[in-house]
Amino acid sequence: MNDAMPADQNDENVKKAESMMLLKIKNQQDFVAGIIFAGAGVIALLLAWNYSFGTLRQVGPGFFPIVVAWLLAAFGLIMILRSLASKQSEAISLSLWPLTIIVISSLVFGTLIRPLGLPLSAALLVLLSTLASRSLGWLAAISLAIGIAAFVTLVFIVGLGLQMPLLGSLLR
Amino acid sequence: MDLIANLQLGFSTILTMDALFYCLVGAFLGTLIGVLPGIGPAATISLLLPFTFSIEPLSALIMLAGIYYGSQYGGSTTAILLNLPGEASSVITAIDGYKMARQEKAGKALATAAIGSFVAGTIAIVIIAAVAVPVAELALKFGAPEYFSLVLLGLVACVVMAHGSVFKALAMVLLGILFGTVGVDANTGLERFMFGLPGLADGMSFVAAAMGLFGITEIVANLSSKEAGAQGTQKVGSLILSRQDVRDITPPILRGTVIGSLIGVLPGSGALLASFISYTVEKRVARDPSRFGNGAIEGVAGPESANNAAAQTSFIPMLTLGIPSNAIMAMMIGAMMIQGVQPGPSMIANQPELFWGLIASMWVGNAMLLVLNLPLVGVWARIISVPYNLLYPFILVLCCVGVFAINNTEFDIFLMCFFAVLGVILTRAGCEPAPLLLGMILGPMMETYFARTMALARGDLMIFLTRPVSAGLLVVALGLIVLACMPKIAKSREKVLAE
Repeated sequence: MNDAMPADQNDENVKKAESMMLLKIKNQQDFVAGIIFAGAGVIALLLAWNYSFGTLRQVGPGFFPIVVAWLLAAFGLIMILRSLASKQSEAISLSLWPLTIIVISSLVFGTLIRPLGLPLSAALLVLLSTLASRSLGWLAAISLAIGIAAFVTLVFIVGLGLQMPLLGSLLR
Repeated sequence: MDLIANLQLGFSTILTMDALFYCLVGAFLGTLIGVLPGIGPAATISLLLPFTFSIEPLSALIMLAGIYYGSQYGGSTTAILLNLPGEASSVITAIDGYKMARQEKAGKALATAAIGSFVAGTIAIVIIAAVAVPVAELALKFGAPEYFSLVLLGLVACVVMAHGSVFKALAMVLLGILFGTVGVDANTGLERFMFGLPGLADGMSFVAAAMGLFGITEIVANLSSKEAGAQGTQKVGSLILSRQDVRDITPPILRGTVIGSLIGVLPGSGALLASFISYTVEKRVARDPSRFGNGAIEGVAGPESANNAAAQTSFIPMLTLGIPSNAIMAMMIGAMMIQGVQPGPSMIANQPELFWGLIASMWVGNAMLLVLNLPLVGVWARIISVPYNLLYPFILVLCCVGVFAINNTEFDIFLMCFFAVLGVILTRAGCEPAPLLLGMILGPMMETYFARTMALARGDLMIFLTRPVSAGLLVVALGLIVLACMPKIAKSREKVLAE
């Protein structure tokens, strides 16, 4: 029967279904939160599959994680269902640029602190992170980087004597 | 008179030049970071942790106390000058405090906040000193089932007090507990959720999580909203209170102190509730309630005293039971554990100098605020007006360096990035990060106490209900959940915790 259906009508049905889907996930906040919680719960359940559960009398190392993961998965699922049924629309606005830049510059710092040492990697961290707001000229960014790098080196290595590489393994 | 002897011991350990110096530095740095927009006490403490690493435990604790009070006061300063409360508990202060600032009476508001906090702190310390010993003695009699129920109650209270939906906060706690199980299991040596990463063997670093969730998430949030950036400086005006002002603020300060001291002991974020109740009370008793919201000095005096008293007495469950009642206390416990100090009932008996020294340093920390922060108020105002695009790279560097310094491992920086991404997305999805952090801290405790109880009771879950103290705690926890879910209360709860 379906085969006999004209193509454009089929298309229309798809469109209708799509628009209904869009209508349905109005509460994006609950939906995203639900996905994260349910996802974390399910992943944990899969990973904890062969952890020994034990008995109540002698609780195994898997007992607590598995119980919590089940609860979390259930909570997440309820949240997803609720978001589909919800009539309130709460959209998520997330600007990815600042988050990406901040995270990338921190990762770079973490990767380079041993090879380059604190002052250089801190200066690099500052330089990269100024891209997040894109409101500093390059001269200002460089002076800020030098200033902050000098400050943290003086305070943490010279002043507080923390165990941090001054010159990295690459430069020695 | 044990009380006086104990306080004497405390003050004799702290009233040395060294200790006073660390307290002063702590209070100064705490305010310095605390006034930065959007940085609350929990983030301030984590940012400043590396400064305490290289000093011996007592001085480090004293410095931490200074940092803590400094950051609290820093939050009030931004609330008054900019209407930007850096933390939940100074939201109420902003109502009348900012109005006063607009009328060029910011100096008076700041002085009132400092004096109110000092008086409240002084009274609350006597209360802590009086209550700590009996509570700790009681706690020493607690067995595993009581502790399990107590931890559960703590988590429930944190959920009820969190902003936004109770349901989401519960899920956040569960996620936190799950993160808390990561690492090598102490009893069996099983590697749980480690993904083959040796950096996770000792569990997820709590400080890395806190920096990611509070520090970095906050930077990203500020960068994403257009408002962040240079703020006009307010005219601070005279700091001197008139005789009439003093007469006006004395009763609110005393009432606020009583309210705050009582509420602070409760688990959850007591400081916000305390300042809210105090504000409501002051409005009720005022001869002319219409002045409130238009710069009433009582509206600053009461809530500021209440939130400081609550901040102080919230140390009671942490110091006597070893259980943090909110994210800030969790941070303090984390900081103490780095120093090898384990807060809890045995601390008072085994390390009295440390315990009473810490109590005394709270008072000194408060006194420092009075002598340090008020004269420097112009400096704080100027720091607030530093443009954000010069500020955030600095905060970011402090986060990264601090996280690296704790275990001297770059892995923790990557972990911080993970929590930053999670924090940004979850905050956008309307989930508060504080319950997650508390779940991470309290989860392992819960698991241990649960396993112990079950071994004790041979697998009989009824033990939680047949032991009277445990049953009582569970009933309170259940009651809180039911209350928070009742539609009428849920609505007013939302109103109270909304902003």
